[in-house]
Amino acid sequence: MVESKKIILYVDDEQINLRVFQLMFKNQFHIITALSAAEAVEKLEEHPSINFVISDYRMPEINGFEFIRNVQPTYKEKNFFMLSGFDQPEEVNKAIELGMIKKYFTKPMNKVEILSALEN
Amino acid sequence: MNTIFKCFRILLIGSLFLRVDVAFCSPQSDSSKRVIEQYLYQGDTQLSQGPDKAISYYNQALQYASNHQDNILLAKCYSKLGEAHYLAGSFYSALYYHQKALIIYDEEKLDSLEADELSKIGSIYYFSDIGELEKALQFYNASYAEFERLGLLAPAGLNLNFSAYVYWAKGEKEEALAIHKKAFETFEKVNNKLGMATSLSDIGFTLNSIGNFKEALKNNLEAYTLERELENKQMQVPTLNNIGLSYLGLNMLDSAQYYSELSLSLANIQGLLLRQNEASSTLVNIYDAQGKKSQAFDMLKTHKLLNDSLKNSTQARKLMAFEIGRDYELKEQEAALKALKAQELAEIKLSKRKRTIIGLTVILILALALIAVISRAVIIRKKANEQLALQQQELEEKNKALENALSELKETQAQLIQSEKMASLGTLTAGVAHEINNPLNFIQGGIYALEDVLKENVVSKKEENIEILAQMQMGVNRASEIVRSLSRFSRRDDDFEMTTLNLSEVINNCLLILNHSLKYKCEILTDFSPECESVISNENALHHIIVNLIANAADAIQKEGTIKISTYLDQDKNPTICVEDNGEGMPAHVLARIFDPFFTTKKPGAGTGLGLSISYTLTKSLKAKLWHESEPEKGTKAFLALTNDRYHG
Repeated sequence: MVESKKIILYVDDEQINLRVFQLMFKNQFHIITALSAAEAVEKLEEHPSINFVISDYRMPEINGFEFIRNVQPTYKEKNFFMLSGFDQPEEVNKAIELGMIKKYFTKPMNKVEILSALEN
Repeated sequence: MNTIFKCFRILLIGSLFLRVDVAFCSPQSDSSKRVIEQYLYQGDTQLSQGPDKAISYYNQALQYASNHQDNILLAKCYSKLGEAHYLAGSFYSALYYHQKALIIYDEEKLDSLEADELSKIGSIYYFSDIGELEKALQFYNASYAEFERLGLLAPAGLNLNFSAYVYWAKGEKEEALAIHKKAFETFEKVNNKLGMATSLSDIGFTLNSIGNFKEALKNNLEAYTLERELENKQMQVPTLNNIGLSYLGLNMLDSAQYYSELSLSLANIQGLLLRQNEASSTLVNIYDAQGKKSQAFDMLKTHKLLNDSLKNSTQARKLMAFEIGRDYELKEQEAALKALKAQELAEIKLSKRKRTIIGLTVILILALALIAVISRAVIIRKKANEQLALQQQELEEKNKALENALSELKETQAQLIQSEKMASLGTLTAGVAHEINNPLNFIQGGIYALEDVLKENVVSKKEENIEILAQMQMGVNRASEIVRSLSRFSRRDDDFEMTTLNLSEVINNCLLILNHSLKYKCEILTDFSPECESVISNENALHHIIVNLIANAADAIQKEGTIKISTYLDQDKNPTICVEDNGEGMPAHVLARIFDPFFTTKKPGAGTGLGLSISYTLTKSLKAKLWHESEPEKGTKAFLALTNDRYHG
């Protein structure tokens, strides 16, 4: 039955956020985490079966938006989301319009909102 | 009248003499030259019918000449245009064209033509309205000198005569006489009979005018002899008139009558209006001297008719006096005599009284003068007082303006401090929001996880645990609400989309949202102006501000009260919203801090202290104004004045 769970790659530069996210959704999803954009790229290559990618916006080196912009064309079958403490930035609006990003969630996260978005 | 006569003479003689000098401009084989000559010729033929047509032909010639860069013909065109404009009475234009011609002739070293132009310019100065006799003299003299140098004595003599006319006009008659004599000698040298006759006639005329009738007669008779020799009837007319005048001066009235009548009949035959006028004038005087009143009167009538055309008003007045005078002459004389006698008697009687009256009058005048001086002094002082009052008023106004400026400055300073505070807060919150949201996020995640754990594992005191979780959730909610509110500070102005809004609708929407917190506590009165039904603003910002204002009004009411919301256009046509409550009001020190972030008078937990600060920031973004008027225990009025974008484009 474990195999039937969909897989989420969650990217955030704070370890505690990654851990909390795992605890929150461990019953519904299989969670893979990455602490940076670079690590996330490796994880995407390692696990071709990842269904959803959720990334923080503000991260050192490569931010969440640049990360998604770089990898999304390669993984068009996957759904990309953002989760950030910022108000939705202008560039993200455009990415949503283009379909690159499915939805932008704000921190603190709302479990119901995230679940309903992923289930669609 | 003599000026007119001179003018005529100059034109007449000038045309006789000066035409010779133009002869060198013989038609050339060049076709363009022929075209120019043709235009000029056409202009010449039109000249007698009025200068306007001639000018247009000359102008065409001028254009052609300037296109073909034919300087000499160009100068000729200029000269012709000068003459035509002179006849049209445009003296300054005439001057301009002759000067142009003069310059070209000078450059081309055509000395005789240059001298001719000098003479013409002199004539303009002499005869025109410009009336600069000294300049006329200068040009005539220059022209004379040039002609004399060239050995062209006839035109030189002519210019001498012209100069003499100027002297005569200046009243320097002896000088005029001397120059006319010099002119005669000049003409004599080349045996130019025409010039000699003219000079003699002019000498005679001048002598007449200075009362030397004997000498005048001698010269005039000589002139007449010469003119008969030349068979020039035109010239005889003025000379005959001069003879008449000389005889009149010598009181030889029959001879005077003979010559003057001859002058008149010759003038009549030749249709010389000016000469007729002249001769008739002389004859009036002669008939008058002869005592032939009716003949004098008839002649005056003739003269009057002539004068009408010449617009000489002096003679016309004289005629009218004559007309009236002839019928009543005797009666008037008798009456005058009687009147004179009566007057003499009366004067003797009255002389004594007169003296008294004069004395009194003098005193009266002195008194009046004194009054005038005093009243003037009073007026001056009154004026000075008025001026002083005016200055004082001005000073007061300036003072007031300064005071206003000062208070404006203070207000601006306060606003600057406020906006600085807001700006730094804005940049601060942008970073802070993210940093706070992250810990909030993992608290939130923790709550979710804990909920699941609690659901899965049956734990004792389940209810208590759920309550603890709920309280944690509330803490997260409130903290995230504050952060969300703060993040509005970091918004840039251009994030605002301005649309046309109905202010009444926006306010009604706000009331709808606030309904649950208002309905048991406040009575809402609205007074919406139809003039505020389409304003340009940002709906979200406006909504946020109005909700805040109404919520604050409601919070100010402790138990029950009224909130009155009105919209109107202010003095500058700015759509304005006023939210008025009859709540507890605010003292001045509170009023001064209401826009400070985190400042609140509400109980802890009841307000974030950000409502009005954020409203203030949003107001700035809307380029609107937000202010409060408040009195403790009476209530508060909040005003929001939007900019009048409809009128400012």
